[in-house]
Amino acid sequence: MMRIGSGYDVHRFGAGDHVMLGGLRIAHTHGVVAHSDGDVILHALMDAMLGAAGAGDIGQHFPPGDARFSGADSRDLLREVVRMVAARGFTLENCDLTLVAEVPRIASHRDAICESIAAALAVDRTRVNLKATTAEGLGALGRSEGIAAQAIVLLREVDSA
Amino acid sequence: MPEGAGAAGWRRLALDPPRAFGTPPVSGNLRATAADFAVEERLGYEPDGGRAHRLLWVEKQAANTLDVARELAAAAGCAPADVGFAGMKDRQAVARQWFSVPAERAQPPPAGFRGDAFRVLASHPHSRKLRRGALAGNAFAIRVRAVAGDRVALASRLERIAAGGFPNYFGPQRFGAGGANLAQVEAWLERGWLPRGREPRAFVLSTARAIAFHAVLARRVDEGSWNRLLPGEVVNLAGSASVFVAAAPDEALAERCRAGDVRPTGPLCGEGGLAPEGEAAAVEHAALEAAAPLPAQLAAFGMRGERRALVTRPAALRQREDGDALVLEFELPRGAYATSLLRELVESGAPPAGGD
Repeated sequence: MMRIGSGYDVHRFGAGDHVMLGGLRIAHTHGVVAHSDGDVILHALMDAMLGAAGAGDIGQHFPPGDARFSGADSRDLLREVVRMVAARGFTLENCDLTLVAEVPRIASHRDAICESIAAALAVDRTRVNLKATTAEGLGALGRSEGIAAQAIVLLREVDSA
Repeated sequence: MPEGAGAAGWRRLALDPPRAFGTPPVSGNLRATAADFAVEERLGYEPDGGRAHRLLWVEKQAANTLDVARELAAAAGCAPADVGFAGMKDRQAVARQWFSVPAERAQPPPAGFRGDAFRVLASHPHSRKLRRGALAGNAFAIRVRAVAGDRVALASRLERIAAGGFPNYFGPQRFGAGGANLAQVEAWLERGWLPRGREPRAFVLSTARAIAFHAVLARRVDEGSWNRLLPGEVVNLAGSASVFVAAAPDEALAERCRAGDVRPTGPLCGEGGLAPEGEAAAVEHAALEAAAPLPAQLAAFGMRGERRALVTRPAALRQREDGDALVLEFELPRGAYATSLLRELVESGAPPAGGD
């Protein structure tokens, strides 16, 4: 059986000199306002995986008010999500990720981000795809007030061997 | 078949593969009664409140999981195949595990229901049928009677295994009572066809895969590489089915391996799937010669190639006294066998047929 899930996350820009994207530190004129490391790509991905497995969302499992997750490395949270999904009998088939931001531009980081995400998921690099687009100057994202990401994932049910 | 393969070689690989830590520090009697072997399933998630099924929390004693599923189906008025469970539990044990029973077109027995050798302890609404392997693991409490030997050395070995894990061999029950399934594998190779029926076929195929996996793990144990990553290793994220190839494992990955976050793997032979490269592939291919012609036969039959971790790690591993007996308590992730841990700790007359 295959299960599909989608996820979305957005963070407002704030003080700082970098953003975390797919587990990589990308230099930028601003940081993001977030309880954890504010990695929108990984947060969207986690929500998509949890949704596909019927396991709720990241807010349920890693509550924003919980001190344990303050400044958390989202790759550690993602590994926990992989295990939660696996406990329900699923494994990732592939994920398709879209970053929506006017800045920073990530073309030169795309491969490294995909490799970082694949490593955190413990899957082959070919199962991870990342696209980037802008908001064409429309709305808050278009005014460069923040950064957003969308994720679509497919999970495959596995029988024990 | 190569020399050393076939009945005798495979029997040794299946039932008496090399231990990672040498002779056990103590001896004792295991499973004098069913109550000496207690296992409790850990799903790793809560019933979700959906309407389509009921999750029944069941305690069984001296009964096998399939028989309980059939009896629950009869009580509910549904087909046995409609009853779900996440894993097979030992017959000679007191086992608590979850079963799912469809709730919209059957009448799941309520809490308090008693079968021939089980009772329903609780019932919760849930949206999905339980699937094989959809669990986090199991917690065990094993009573060892007539213990003799070096208890200080036992404590030391427990510490070592808690920190670094143990070889993830299949338990003897995977090979049938007294290794009976091995003869069926040989019969398959001689005749060229599998027994009729889904379950008998599955037993033969899973036994064949287990022999081949043991051939690789035994080789890695002999070479001392069962718990570390080789160049080209197919690496598994612990607690998941996720695997990837590490062409040149760096120190960060090696450290994650020592910490138990990722693990080296061996083959569950079949067609396709992720394969090792470089040194890991060379070791694996050489080891699989002891299982020939099973890998080729499994691939030809259309089994899908998968991977299984070479090492597994117990949680909450401890010993305590209980009168004259010693009780070993621990939790294992899904797919790991309690008997594969016990054989590194306790020398017993006959291998117990236990584990998930």
